[in-house]
Amino acid sequence: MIDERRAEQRWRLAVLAIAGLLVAIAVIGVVGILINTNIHQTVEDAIAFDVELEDRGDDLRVAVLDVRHYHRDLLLNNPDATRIELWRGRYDVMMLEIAAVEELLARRPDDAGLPDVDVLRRAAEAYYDDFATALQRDVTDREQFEDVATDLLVPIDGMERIAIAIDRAGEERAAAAFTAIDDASATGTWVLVGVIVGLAAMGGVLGYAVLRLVQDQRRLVAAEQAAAAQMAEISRAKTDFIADASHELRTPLTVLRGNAEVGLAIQDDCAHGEILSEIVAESARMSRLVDDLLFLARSDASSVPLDTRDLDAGPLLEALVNRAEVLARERGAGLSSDVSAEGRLRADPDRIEQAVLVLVDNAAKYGPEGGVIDITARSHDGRLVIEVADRGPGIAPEQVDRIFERFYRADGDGRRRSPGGVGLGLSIAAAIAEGHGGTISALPRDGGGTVMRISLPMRATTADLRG
Amino acid sequence: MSARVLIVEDDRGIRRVIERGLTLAGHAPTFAEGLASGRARWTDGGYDLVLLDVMLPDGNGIELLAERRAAGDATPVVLLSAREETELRDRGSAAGATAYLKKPFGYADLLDCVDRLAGTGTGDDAR
Repeated sequence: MIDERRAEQRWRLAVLAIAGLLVAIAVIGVVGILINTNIHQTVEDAIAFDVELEDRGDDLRVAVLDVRHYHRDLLLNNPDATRIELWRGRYDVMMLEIAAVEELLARRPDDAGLPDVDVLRRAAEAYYDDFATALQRDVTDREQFEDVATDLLVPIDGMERIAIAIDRAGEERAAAAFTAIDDASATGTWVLVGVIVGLAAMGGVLGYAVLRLVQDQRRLVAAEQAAAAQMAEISRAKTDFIADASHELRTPLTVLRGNAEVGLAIQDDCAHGEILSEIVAESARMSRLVDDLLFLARSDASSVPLDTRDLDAGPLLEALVNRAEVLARERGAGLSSDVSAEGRLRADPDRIEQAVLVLVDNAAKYGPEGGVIDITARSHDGRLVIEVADRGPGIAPEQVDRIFERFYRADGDGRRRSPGGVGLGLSIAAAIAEGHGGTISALPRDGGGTVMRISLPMRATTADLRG
Repeated sequence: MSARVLIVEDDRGIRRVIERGLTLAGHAPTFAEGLASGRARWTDGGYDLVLLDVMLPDGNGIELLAERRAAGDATPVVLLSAREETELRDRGSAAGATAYLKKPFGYADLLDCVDRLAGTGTGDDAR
């Protein structure tokens, strides 16, 4: 049905909306993680290099100033061995600082913006060579030593400038790194805000769509309920019509039958008697049809009209077999019964009899002329199973499902009318079986023929309850 | 035994067939086509049995029955109806119906009813 397809599409859309929401949450999560990683990386970079460079630059500058201090100490005082050792110690510290800066800078071989520490190293080594030579050679000549030492303050100034430049570069880079961290977190915030706003907008659209779907669904359900109520109303009207029509038919049937019977009472000679008898028989058949129609109309309208009571299976089946024997004899057939059932059931005995007699009547009709109808009954597993079997031609497999339809006839073209029945019998038998909570079925019989089976639920016995 | 039978029935066909049947059997039928004429004839009295249709154009037969029983009339009454609901039968019995004849009934059913019930009333009209 179109409605079902549309309902399915709606469900698919709803599932897609939920999936979209999950994807949105995943997107926010991934973007958040990326932003966090970016900030983390920026901070790591800054601490590992830029801030380190600033520190190292600072230390280097201090080391250069220390060298200068002890250089002046040697210049102004007597350059004895102790002072020389102190100066040399400061020089070593400075060289260690240079080495540390070199090592740091080596981590970024491709960074063109970094200060050149090689110049400092060369200048420092040249200075050391010059001053150490001067200390060895000229220390006896005080005046000449002072000249050389004073001149060598110039390269120290140069070294200090380089150290300051490195220090500044470190400071600038650290400041830039902190700006980058700020930028990264600000960018991250805006990206997240953007993503959240975008997804919220998407969510809004989806929410609106879902709302519409729910409204549609509700409308659809309301429409279905209205349609069901309308169907029930139509069905009730149909049932009422059939019931009314059946009742209306009963009055002319009374007139028809009564007149024929009175006619028979007046004159029962050959020709007239035969005609009137046939009218009586046909009006009796029509009366049965009206009764059947009424029964089916009522079982359509609500539950099957049953007058149920608690019964013992044994006496019920005994009475049933007696009636079946009479009917079979009337139809010119024999009846063989094998009935043994125990237990109780809740049933309308007249209706059960009606259903079984329908099966016996059919078996006589479809079985061979003068054939034997087998009726068996057993109780087991909480069910009473009554079977009526004939040796007729059987029912074609494609017809088995249809024989319980109203006015369906298995002989010939299926809808052909033939005397003796109107094709409501099995429908009524089925309605009776189902009205009792049971089932009816047609099975092929071994060796040819048909087995019609009625299965009825029995009442739980105390033995069953204990088991 | 000839019985005087009042038939309150609006359907002409039913009236005619009952008339033929009862006359043939030697009974004396009288007819009323509706509730009002039925009430008039019944009140006049002199019947051994009343055949009373339930659905009449000017009212319900059971109401007329209840009315007659309330007035002390004990004439046996057979309700005629195409309906078979137990509820209708119960209402009929409560109102004082003697028997119930479901349409379509046969000639034998009709005669049996008349033979069995006519004159069994305890009123003045009983024979």
